[in-house]
Amino acid sequence: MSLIACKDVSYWYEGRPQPALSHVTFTVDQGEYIALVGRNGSGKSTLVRLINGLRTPSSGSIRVLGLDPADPEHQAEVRASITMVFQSPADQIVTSCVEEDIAFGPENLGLPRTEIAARVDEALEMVGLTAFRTRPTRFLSGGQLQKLALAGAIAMRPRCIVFDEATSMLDPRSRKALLELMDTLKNQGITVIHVTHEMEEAARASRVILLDQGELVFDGSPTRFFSVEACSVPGTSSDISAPASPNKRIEPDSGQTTLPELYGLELPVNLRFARMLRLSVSPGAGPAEIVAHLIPSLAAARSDAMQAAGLSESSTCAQIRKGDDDGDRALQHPTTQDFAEPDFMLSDVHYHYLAGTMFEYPALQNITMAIPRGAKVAFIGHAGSGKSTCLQLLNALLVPTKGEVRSLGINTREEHVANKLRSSVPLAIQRPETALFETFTGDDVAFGPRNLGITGAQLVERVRTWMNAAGLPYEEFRDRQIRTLSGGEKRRAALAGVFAMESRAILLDEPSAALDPQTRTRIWSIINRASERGTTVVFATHAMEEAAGADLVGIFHEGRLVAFGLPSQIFGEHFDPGWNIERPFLYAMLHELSVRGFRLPSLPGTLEELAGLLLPMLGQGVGADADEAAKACLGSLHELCPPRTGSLAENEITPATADSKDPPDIPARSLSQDKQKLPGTDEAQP
Amino acid sequence: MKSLEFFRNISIGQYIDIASPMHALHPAAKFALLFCISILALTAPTFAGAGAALLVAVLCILLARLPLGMAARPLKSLLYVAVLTILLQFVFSWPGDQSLRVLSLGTSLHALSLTLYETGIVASIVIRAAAMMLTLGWFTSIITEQDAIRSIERFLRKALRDSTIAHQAALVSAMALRFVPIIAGELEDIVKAQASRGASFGSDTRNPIAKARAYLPLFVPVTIRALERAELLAEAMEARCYTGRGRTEQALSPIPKSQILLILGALLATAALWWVDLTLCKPWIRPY
Repeated sequence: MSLIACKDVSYWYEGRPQPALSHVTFTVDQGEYIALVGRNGSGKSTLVRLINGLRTPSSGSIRVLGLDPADPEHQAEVRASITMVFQSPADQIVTSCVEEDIAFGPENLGLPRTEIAARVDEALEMVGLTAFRTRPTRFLSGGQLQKLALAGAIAMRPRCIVFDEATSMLDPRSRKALLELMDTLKNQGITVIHVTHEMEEAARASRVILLDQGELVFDGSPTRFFSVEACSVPGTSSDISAPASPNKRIEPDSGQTTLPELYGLELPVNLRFARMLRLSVSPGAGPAEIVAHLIPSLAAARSDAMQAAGLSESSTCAQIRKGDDDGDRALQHPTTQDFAEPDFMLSDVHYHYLAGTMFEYPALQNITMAIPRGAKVAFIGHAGSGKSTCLQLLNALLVPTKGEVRSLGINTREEHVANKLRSSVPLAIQRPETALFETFTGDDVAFGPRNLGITGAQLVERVRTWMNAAGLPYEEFRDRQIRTLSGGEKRRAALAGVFAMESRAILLDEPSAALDPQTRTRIWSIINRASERGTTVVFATHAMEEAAGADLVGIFHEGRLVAFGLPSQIFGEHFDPGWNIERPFLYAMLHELSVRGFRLPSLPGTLEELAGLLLPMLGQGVGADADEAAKACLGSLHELCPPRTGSLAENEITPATADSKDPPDIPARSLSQDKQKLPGTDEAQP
Repeated sequence: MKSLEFFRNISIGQYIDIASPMHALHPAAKFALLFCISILALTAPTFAGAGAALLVAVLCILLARLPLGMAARPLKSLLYVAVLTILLQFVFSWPGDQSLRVLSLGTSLHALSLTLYETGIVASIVIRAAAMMLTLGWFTSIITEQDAIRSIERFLRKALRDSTIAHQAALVSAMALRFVPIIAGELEDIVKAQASRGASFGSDTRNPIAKARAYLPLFVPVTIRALERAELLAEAMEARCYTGRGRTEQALSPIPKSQILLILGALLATAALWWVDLTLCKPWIRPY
């Protein structure tokens, strides 16, 4: 008997014309690790709520261990067998004490106290919260709260745990810890259903189920899910258990599109890069594995090119000269002297929350930085590291406990300019859609500009411009009631309202958090549009790929700014594993290449640029003619290492080995290089 | 300029985990003290009796080793209440009030004036409110929500003879308290978001209707968010098999005899203070 069996399940929300779920059929066996994927609003959360008995299907049947979860008589048994961990850590904690919250579920089952105590101990140990057992829950971080929620689920001794986008509001460290716990559960034989729209997370599962507009469109292995075959030949594979419905036909394309891309998700960055290089790697392949695939081709191309250039095999231009990078390599923070006109300047800033009370704690210490006008700056760091506090200091919502903050040249301590300053550098808080309050979308977008005194045709034009930019066509959405918008549309409307103020600088606190890839892309198109107009954009993010696209990156760690500079510096030569963050994929690739003796004198700014450099050396991206390929290889190798004058001996080239103990680091791009993406902005050189 | 930090002004609903004689009390004793101080603060015949309740509340805070400054911070909001009440007393007069005029804007009808009687009313309101605010802040700082639930549940189970209703009522009470700092956090976020969009919250107008409208950008999102949170929490509880019935009963340790004596002493002291206020203070402090 299957653990879960869904047969032809449909579900309508009251008042909605389209079903949230339509004729969904699948089964789940004990011990599986399933990624349930799909865009925001595709029906994922509805489906798991039906399985858990929190909702009743409009038609079709669901059986959990042969029982109907909608039957009140069986609900307790079903819910004890299939427990859930929800998205928002704080919204699922019932009591104020850690151990009491874990005991809440078992107490509901009416278990003896000794049994409950044993279960609480076991769950605490499994999630690593034993030391926190008597701590008030309000003193836990988001990641710890999510672990607590999982402990509460484990204490029910379930056969299956459903994680409903449980990682989407966590920082990378907490996310990684939770994913590792999922692996542990799976190894213990517990079925894991992970609802997510992060494809990197889906790649960890042993089975992927894709929902789109309430319909099941794919059910199979991750390898097949991420392959072009699944997309181009729909319904023919044996691992597609539910064929696509007639109105959900997958259109075969040129043979390069994959299912995630076709359904508004995106290919994991590793697979996207592998596809650029026409490599075939496993869904979980990291940069090291991809580079390992490349090395034979790169080495052969290098050897051929050396021979063609008349150089000896033992000395290659991609090798590293010792002492090449001698000298002062300490990362210098850009300071006030570095910019002619910084928009923000922080001088020895400290901030303590609840200062003067017994709950006082330091959030920021000794922050000194200058943010140039027109730059796009990313703040990264773990939850509680001080990113959001710093943004609020820039916006004058908070005033430093010590030190000075100047925003647009104004000292934020000056009382009489508070309101003006706050609207001059508006801050979009985390989940800014929670601040929407008007009935109609257009009115809410107009709220900020109207407060600036803009009225009439100018106001309409501004609202129109930014609603269109946000992918909410003005004519269609201006009179749309906010409560009818989807989560992603609400986020875009909220950000459009902030951008419509057309201020000189804008602050964004995790603008794309908990959104599906398609909505994220739309959000970034608004941000990039503002940036291209010369707006200074400062944003906090947990996504390293987003940070890699900034002009400057600041790393916050335990309330301190431990690094501030160009992405190529931060993620390249000055990267410190002690920050406990991961490199963006591009920089991880460059690092792996340099570890193996391949160094790029000019840094590619995007994966496409890197692929463009590597492709010719792999004998691809050029004509079929062998001579042309050889020339392309030579050209690329010259790009990798410009030809030197004189003999090799004179240049003291030392042969590099793949296991070099002192790998070369990634050279830095200059801000002027990066600023080419920012037309109309003042050049500012750190 | 000051930072927008609402939690600085919130002392209700925040348990503070420190060792103190007050924290060491049995929950029943804590509830008994809360009852005694509240009764005295709310029903004492004069503001002298309410003042005694205020003094006891301060003593309890000190015994709980809580910083008095932090506990008293919410009292700043009482200033507005006091000013508003004084204004109302100044404009309107009590029928038959012949007490001494403290302040008068010289008309023969004495329409705009403040009498000793009215001053007493204002003082009484402020003192009673201050005593209650300090007491509630003190109480929620020394008792965990679970202890509160168990105590209320135990009391209601005996009173109502229905364990399901008793548990649900207790749970609702405890969650209401727990939500105070959570909603304050939500409010702070919304205030920050709207301030960033140039909201003035009525500071730029004197029109009371316009002022009220200016608060809509706060109240609408906070209300929606509070309802959303409540719905999510209810869903999470349901998913953990909560029905309110058939739960394992919470174990509550028996109250020590010494604390039974403390409760009796507190009840007697309250009755004595009330009696003194009624018989000695009331005739002396006229009319309040």
